[in-house]
Amino acid sequence: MLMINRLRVEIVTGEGLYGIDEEFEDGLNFLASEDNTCGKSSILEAIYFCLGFEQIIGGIGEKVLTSAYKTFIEDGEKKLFVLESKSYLEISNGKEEITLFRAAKMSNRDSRLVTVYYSSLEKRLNEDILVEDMYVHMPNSATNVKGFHHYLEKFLHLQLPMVPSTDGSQRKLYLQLIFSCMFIEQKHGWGDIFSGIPILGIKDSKKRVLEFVLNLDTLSNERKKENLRFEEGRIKNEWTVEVRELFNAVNRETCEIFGVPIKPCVLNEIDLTGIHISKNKQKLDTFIEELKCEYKNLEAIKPKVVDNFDDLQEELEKTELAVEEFEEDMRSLREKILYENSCIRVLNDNIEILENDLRNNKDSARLRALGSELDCMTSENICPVCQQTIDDTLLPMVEGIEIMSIDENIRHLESQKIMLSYAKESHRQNKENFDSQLQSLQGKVFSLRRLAMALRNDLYSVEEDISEAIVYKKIDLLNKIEKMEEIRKLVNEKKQKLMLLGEQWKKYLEDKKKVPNKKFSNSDLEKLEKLKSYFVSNLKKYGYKSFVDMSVIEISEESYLPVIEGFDMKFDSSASDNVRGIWAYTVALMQTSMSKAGNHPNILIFDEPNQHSIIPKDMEKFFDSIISLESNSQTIVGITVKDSDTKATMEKLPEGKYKLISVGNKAFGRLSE
Amino acid sequence: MDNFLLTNEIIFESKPDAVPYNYRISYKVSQLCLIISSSCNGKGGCSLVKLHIISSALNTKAYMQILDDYMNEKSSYMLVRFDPAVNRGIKYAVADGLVFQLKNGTFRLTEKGKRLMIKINDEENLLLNEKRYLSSLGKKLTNEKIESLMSMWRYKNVDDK
Repeated sequence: MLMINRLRVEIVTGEGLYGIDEEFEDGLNFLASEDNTCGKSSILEAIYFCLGFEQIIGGIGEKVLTSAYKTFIEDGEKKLFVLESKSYLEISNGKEEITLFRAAKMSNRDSRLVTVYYSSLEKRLNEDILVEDMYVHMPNSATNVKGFHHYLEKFLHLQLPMVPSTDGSQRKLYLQLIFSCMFIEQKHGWGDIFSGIPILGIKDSKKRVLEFVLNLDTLSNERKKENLRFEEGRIKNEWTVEVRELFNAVNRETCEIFGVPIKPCVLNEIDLTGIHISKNKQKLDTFIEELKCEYKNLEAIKPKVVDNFDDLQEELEKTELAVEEFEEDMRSLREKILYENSCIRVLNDNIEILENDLRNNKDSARLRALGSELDCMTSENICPVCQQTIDDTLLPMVEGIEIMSIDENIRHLESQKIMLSYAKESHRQNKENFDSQLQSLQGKVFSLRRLAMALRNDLYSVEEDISEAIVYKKIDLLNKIEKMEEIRKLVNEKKQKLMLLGEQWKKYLEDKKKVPNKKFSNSDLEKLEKLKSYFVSNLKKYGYKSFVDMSVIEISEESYLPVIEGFDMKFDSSASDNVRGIWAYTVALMQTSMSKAGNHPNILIFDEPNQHSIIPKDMEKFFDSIISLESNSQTIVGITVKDSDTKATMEKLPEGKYKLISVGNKAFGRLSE
Repeated sequence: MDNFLLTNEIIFESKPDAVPYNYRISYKVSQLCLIISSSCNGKGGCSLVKLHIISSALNTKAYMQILDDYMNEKSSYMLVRFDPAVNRGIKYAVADGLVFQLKNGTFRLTEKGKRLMIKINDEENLLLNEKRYLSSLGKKLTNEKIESLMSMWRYKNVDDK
């Protein structure tokens, strides 16, 4: 759980120290003032800011804070300039207390820095207190050890899940997202349930937050599924790599292979025997046998030049013919390679030009933004002379032809670049193929030439000499046999590997089966049922009137938000009932989490819940229901007590059940050192 | 009239045209301001011909080289493309209050134009090539050089009519 114990804001001005220093208690806390403009929101902002949740207000860093933190504060008639502003927040997780310190304006201190004192605010300066500096809103601050939110997650004993992000990768669910459903902020929070949720690139972020808060099993199911998907990808990938290696090795020796499963599957020994390799339409084994046989025959022939001049002559002619054929092939291959090379060169030039264009276009976009900052009208597509709209081009325009905006132009160029890179890649692959073909041809021609040379030598040699051709053939055969055997070995190795992958694939399929098909486990359904019943009973309590029949309200199994006959409840609700809906849902979420061991940190903040002049009786019921929540939870309500109705409501609440913090005329008064 | 083939199957839709960066108002205006600020000494202002010469040199590396060669007296003559976009660009710059025209026809930056320069110079990677070239060129392209070049045009291209 998260509990806010004490907040101290210090604003240093030329006239001394201003600020507030208030303690909060568990249960209901009111932050009440008589005027709406005097800075309750500023005080709540300090809480968000210390926790690094200012994205809920609408941005990152001190810029979202009110001017009191940055420029000046008012004291009576005087305007005092702010020199430094610092916020301290003492929080507790039920067992330990820590104090957070973050400065909105302070020289030599980055506003992204959060200092954690491992003690209460009172004792933070004692000697033996451990102090650590951490940061927020920097890359990886949710996962990095020095990231404050990483620390806060541990401190609150939350275990945030990894969830899919919009770019397809896995990211940790952000704390800001979770707290946006508990901290209802004044400006964005009252539009709709969850309307204050920041957009941080998490897919279905509302859904993920609710799953986490309610601790639904679907989340772990999703995670399991995600893992399985990853496993599937890995096996498929490795399988393709193995198969490709196999094909490459076999093709290099101009053999063919049959019966290799291209996609992962479970293999047994029998399946493996179905994998055949053949060379020249023969089985590899037979081919090797034949080679060996040929070798033996050669052995039998005496390696002498016998009276077979005609045979030698004939063989020489055949060999030379073969060489010529191969050379022809090589020539055409070389031509193709030259062509591919020139294609690649042209594409490279084009890509370079495109990159240059892209850079310049991005510069233009930036310059346009700079122009806008200086109020240049041309940057807004307005003619500075006649105030009419103009197109962003210096080329003479033909009426009726649209032009791209810079952003469109950049996208246009980027997709061109992708296209060219793709073309380049395919040309490169062609070239590689031709290269390897050329190489193998060269090898063949080389060995044929050697044979031809040996034959020629034999033709002119003395009769009793050892036949060079036969010796050469023998060596050649030995080489071939060796290579073929290597392939046989490789294929066997690969078979084993594929077997192993097949086993893993089997395991993957089994695991996949184990993942429940039904989206919700029984306990999930119970939780959703509970959420619904709390929600409906809260609605009744708060005087929701847009429907007479509350039984039509359902909690959607898709979004976990309340729907009526499949439609968002908001469409059928009046404005004030919409606000009641937000009260009811926010409170019901915490109630459900409390009774069903969810992950709710048991804290709620409402800024100005009395929107749309809700009648005081309902307001009172709302506060009553908060008071009647179990202990161990904290609610902070910022409220304006301007009219007598609200005042009466507050007075009716049972004494001692809530803490009232009155904010005076101005939120930040003089503060003693 | 209904007998046209495929009238219902094929629909032509006009797509917006791409504009080269060089013809974007924001780019050209900023480029011209950059030239004025880095190639001219304050009081005299910058003549339109000078803007044309440098702006055309900034188009490609090859043009930059040609201007360099002329500046270093490796070649005694060069041609300049007078791009109407420069004229339009300077008009926008004047209308937007970034640049003003002196009595003698030359251009100088206004306070707003100077503020734009500061912003552009603050961003290191913005207009990187342009900045690099202009700083190497500095204020070397003097009015005398331009005068002599223009008189050359008169002699050399007299036959072109």
